[in-house]
Amino acid sequence: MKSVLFAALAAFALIVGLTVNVFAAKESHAGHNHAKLSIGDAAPAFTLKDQTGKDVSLSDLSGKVVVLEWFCESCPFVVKHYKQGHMNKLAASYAEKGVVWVRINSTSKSTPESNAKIAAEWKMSGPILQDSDGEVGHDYGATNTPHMYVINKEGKLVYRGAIDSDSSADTAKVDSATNYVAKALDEVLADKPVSQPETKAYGCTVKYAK
Amino acid sequence: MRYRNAALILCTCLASLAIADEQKQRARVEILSGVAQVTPGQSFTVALRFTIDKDWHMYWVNPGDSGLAPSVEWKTPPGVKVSPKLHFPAPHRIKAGDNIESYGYEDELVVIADVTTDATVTLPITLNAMINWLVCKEVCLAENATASVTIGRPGSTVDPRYAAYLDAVAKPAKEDLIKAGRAGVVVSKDKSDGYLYAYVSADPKFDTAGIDLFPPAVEFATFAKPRFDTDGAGTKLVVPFRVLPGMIEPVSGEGMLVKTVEGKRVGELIPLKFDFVK
Repeated sequence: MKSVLFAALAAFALIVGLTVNVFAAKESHAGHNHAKLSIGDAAPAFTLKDQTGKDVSLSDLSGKVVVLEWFCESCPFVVKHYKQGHMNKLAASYAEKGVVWVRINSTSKSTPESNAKIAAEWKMSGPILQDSDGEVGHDYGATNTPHMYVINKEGKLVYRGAIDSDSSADTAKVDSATNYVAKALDEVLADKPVSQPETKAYGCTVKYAK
Repeated sequence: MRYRNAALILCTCLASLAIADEQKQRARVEILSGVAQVTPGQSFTVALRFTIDKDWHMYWVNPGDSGLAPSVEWKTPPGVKVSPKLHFPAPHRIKAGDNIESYGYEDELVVIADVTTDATVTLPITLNAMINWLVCKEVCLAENATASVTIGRPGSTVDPRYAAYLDAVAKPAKEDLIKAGRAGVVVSKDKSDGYLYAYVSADPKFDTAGIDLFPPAVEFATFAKPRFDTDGAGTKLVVPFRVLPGMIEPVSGEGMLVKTVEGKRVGELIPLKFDFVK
């Protein structure tokens, strides 16, 4: 980020009158458990079952750049990125560069079996990990599908947020959008700091266990 | 073997019928015209009226923590233009999970579009629309429909509810109030957080029932719930936000201040720009 002096221009409102005194606004933000986890923190450890029933731990992937993608096959925003193979292509292109792409499904009703079915149907390679109790999702503060996280070789969180800059459910807009995950991965792989380490995730709400 | 195949085909058909029924649309849309007759060169409005199944909801321009507002692609005859911007009524806060809140509408949503015509237009005018929307309950469905409306047929009438629909959509705040300094954005010194504010009355003991402030759809901030505060200047609404470090260029959007007047919710749009000064 450049030297950013924020001038916030705002306009409008109801009544004619005075100015305001400034105060510090520090509080929790609805919908975002981000207070728990910050960019640069160690990525929370997890062990979850993949679609073959095998345990996969984040620690198994130490020394590698890892992408976590919160996944739910019935979400139109997820479908948007799979319908014409965009997400699979993206994952495959970075797999060639040693990046491990891991989908996490915190939908309470999904199972390794349902994940196996969709992985076959959508020709996905790599694990889909089932997080039925939502513990891992809550550790990461995942609120949406898709909600994306990038972890560097040192195991630190370097990106979280949206997959790209187009928050619609329209597949036709994927190619023209800025892909924040690709951008972050390119920077991480070039040993550069991530220039846009956090964006607002868009999509469906994660269907956590109640 | 032949019979078994036939049975299999029958089963498959039944199964797909069942799926088709399950996938019936959770919201339906119709287009209504704001005028019965039109003369070439006249401007008018049309409404898209969505009827939403019980317990399902649709979204405002800023959907909140999840969701998506409806969008329309118009097909218009020569000499007719429809503004891409839709006018929305005041949204509601809809709980979508623990600490997850959406801004949207239940039961019914009526949005208004502006139509302009020039002198070359031939009557009557038919507007065709391809409408896409997201409707959610526990799950979300991306639905779409085509709809059309013809304006200027002999004997046409305007739906009696139209005036109320037009009245219900948020209007821009008046220009002179923009300069009044009664609302704005304040960002902390370290540029990591801040708040939006809007005075609703010069009276510090103002009754705040039915007043709300919805933040704009900006990609690089997360907003908390508004709270009321008072100071020497009166009663204000304050919405704390966190600036996400992904923000690298100025962003703009419209917030909405909502009041309840005689039982009706009235929205005023607030153009907000988060700018950088070098």
